[in-house]
Amino acid sequence: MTNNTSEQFHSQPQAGRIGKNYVDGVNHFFPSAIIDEEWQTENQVTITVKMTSLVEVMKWLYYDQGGWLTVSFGNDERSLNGHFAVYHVLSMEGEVKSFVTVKILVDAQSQEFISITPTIPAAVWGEREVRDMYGLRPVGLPDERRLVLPDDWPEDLHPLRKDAMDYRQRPQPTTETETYQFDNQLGNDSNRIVPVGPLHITSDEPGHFRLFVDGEDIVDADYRMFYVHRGMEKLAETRMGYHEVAQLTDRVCGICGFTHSVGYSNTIENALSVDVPFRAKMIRTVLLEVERLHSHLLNIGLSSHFVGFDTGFMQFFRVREKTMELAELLTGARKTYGMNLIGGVRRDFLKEQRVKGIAMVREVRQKFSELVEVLLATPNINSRTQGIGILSKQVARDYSPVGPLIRASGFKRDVRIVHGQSLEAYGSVPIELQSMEDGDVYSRVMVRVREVFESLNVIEYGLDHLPAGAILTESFDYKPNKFALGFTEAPRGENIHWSMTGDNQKLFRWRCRAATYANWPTLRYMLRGNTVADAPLIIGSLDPCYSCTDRVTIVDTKKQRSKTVPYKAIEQYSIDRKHSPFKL
Amino acid sequence: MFKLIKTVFNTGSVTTKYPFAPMSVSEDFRGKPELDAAQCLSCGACTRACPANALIMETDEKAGTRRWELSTARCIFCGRCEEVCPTHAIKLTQNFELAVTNKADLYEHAVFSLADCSQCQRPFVAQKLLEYVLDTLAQSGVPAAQLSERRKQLQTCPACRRANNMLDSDNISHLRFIKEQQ
Amino acid sequence: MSPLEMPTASWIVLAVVQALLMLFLAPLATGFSRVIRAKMHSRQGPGVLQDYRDIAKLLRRQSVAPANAGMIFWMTPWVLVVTMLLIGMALPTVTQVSPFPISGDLITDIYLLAIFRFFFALAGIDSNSMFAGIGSSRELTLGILVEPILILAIVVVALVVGTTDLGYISHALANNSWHRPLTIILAGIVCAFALFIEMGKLPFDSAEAEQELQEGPVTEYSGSALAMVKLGLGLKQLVVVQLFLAIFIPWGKASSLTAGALISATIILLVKLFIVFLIAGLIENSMARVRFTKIHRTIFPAFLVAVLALIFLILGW
Repeated sequence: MTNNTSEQFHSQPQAGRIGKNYVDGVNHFFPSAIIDEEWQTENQVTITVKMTSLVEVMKWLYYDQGGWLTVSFGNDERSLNGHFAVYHVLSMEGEVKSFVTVKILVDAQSQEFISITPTIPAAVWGEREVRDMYGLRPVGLPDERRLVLPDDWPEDLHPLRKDAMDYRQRPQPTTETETYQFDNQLGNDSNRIVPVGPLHITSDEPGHFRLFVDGEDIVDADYRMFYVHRGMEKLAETRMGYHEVAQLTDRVCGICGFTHSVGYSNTIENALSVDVPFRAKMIRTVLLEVERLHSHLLNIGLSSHFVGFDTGFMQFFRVREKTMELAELLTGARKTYGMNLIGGVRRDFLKEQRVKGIAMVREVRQKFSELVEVLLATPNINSRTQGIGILSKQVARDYSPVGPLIRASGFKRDVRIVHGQSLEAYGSVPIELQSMEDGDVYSRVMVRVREVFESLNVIEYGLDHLPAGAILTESFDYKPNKFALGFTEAPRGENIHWSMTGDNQKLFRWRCRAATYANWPTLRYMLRGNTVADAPLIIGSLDPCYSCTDRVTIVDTKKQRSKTVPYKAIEQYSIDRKHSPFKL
Repeated sequence: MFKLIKTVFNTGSVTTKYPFAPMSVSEDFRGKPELDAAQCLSCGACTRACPANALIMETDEKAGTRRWELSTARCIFCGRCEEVCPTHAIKLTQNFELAVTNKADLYEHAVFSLADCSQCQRPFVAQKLLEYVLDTLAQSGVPAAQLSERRKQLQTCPACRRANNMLDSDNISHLRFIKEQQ
Repeated sequence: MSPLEMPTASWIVLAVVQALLMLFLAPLATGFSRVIRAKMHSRQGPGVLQDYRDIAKLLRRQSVAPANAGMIFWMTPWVLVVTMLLIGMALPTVTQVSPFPISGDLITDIYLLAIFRFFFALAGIDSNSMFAGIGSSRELTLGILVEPILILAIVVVALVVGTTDLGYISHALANNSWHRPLTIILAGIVCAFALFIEMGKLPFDSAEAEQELQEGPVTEYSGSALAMVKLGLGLKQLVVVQLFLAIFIPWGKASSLTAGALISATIILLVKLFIVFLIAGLIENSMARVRFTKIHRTIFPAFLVAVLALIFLILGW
């Protein structure tokens, strides 16, 4: 392309078409690149571009127009148009705030597409996952390792293809040993390896981190996730109806499940133009913030724990318990599960609950501010958190991380505010974006602390000013192959959902990108140059959520036969280490 | 540090005595679903609505019964069943202490007897549901003569009804069409 | 200087009884720390006897070691307990002089503490765990930083009193008027700080940092060996505190070996221990762990104070 993209162009604003200027810009600078343009909602547009212009278009949108890559995913559209498709969703946060989805069609025979990772590193996990799940080859993608599929998965089986093996069946494992290559980019073989997780004392979650260390210093770090695939996307496509998926999305995460079900419900509501009553929107907004409260309190508590200040940890958990009770009061369950249906919510807030809720919010606010004061006055807290695990602005810009992580690095990204007009009732509640400049662990903790106060304000406002009206719209029809985005700001950052309706009362494709998925790729850069002692703290400052990241494939290591091994037999085996009872 | 000690001092111990003392939950807590079998029509609405397949219904044709079963192990306490139940037979309780030592105790069931089809004598619908429909018709003012006609109709299973329709050839449009052509 | 002669049988009995009592009471001390910890967390927590139950349970369990761990790994738990028992025998805890002066020399005790640390670190390296290895290197670094301060502070006191025998120092400080009060108070402060670090409590538990290194050298221990290590670490806390009490707060001890005097001295000792562990517990639970790479900045001022004590000694204050 020989376009001079720095020149100015003028675009006429058009009513009901927010983000039209980006489409016009692409048309202006890359003539005939766009094959198709489709508007899902007022601020969501999907443009199909030619494969040859993809990199240029993406680069222009991402770096020149203030776009952030929120998710990249594939879709098997051979039954619709004879092609596979790869989507890159951009959240445009320049002058005009909107979502632009760039779609390319991938030939069903060659099965190759151009990788944008060398230009926009943020796409790396998305493209690796497309390769795993659809078998499409990203040409030019430097990282050739698997991301999602386990080592013992056959080469030629791609689970999300529509013609893949039936989801109820399991392929035979192809290898017994781990073949994944961990990658030490900056160091050499003289570095010793410190493994963190899955059984580390502060990281007892299904993720494995390999720190390459020189003495106490971390030279480089690599990690591997996706040990606990639940096959949710496949599950939703194959055996669940639209409403059941809302309950499934609640279970994507053990902490911020509600944001996922709101995100999912929004995709369908956006795709089918369902008008959600304002009262339902406000209820969702309040509950999203209730969820943020307990999640942030958890993370602030854990940050104290990671630096050895267990008293702070327990004290924050004491206050967190109140927020769990608030959730129980408002939803009938300590987790905000099972509230959403497509079109609204299932339970109303009663007058009595609102009064009680407001009292609880005030109590939490008072106790929390006391504890924050204590935390900040605790000896050694500052020296443990300041200047540690810095996420530089450059890495942040390239990798599109989300949530408190990026807000602590000085970028003002928060879908509640940036895209607040099209996200539930956020456009009409008092809320401010909290950001800090330093990008270290301290900033992240402080951003969370301030967001707790913001959440408390929103909850109090929402409970106090709950609008009258219905809470659920049920009069709408499902139309096949409509698609749209849904997005929410989870405590860890934005969650993006994309779904396409099918023609059999089931989803054709549901893609869910949890916040932590966007944050993991930056972790390596934050760990570099710190000490082993800080690794758990830095990993923790991401507020990582393993189960939401590990959400795709079906893994089952069960052999054909099974056997119950009694405790005595295991004990005997551990003494004489002979005659393993585990062999079948 | 002193502020911390002061906070700690003022708070005291917040550990509750649970399980030695009962744990109170909020009023409309969503706990274990309970079925009031007397109220249930075994219509199957709850089993259709259940997103987790915790509720199932099985028909045993030989015994002429229909079995409703709840698995507390699968239940996600969403309350969809309570919402869709036409007779308010199923209610979520405040009970959250659901651990059992025996796996079989995770299941609850209710058995309903089925009504036989008046033609083929095969069971096809729950006796209670049939009675409920007829009672509703009676309540809505359907005259007695018409009611017995409807009863006959309703006591026939769908398969037999279909067969009846086929045999009643006047009813069938394509045959009429063929006649005209001849 | 005291001649190294064999003490009489009744003194030896007292020494052995005293050491074994300490061993027996070590879980009580750590259990008490746990109670304080629970109170600081605003939770109920286990009872004060919980560590007895834990150790009793662990002692019944099988001990498993990494495949390539050697002799040192198995020896260490015993070495830890025995070195501390030796110091425990020598401490003038309830009596005015050391009941077992053979191991009651200050220099000997400092070396016994060093042996403890040396074997603890060695076992960590021997266990072949990466975390234990880092913990060991930290433990040794900490030793290099703390021991000079401890030695300097104690040497200052020894020079004031004119002996390195614990019993004599204790006796002298309890009964004679302090002719160099400033020196001794400064040395006492430094010594308290250094011994607090030796207790291995937060914010200086870098070697066993649970969240950072999964308890460092203790990582690979299990079963009965773990019980012994726990016992050894608990005993060390108790011994180190009493070392401080014996030198700097020596009042209220029995001057003769009569039952009444011994009992009242024991009660006074328990009160002192209670206060020390209470203060240690409060400090431990209201701080974050010191960043290990910056630990020297925290410790170095203490060294300066120790030097100041030495200067005061020379000036004769």
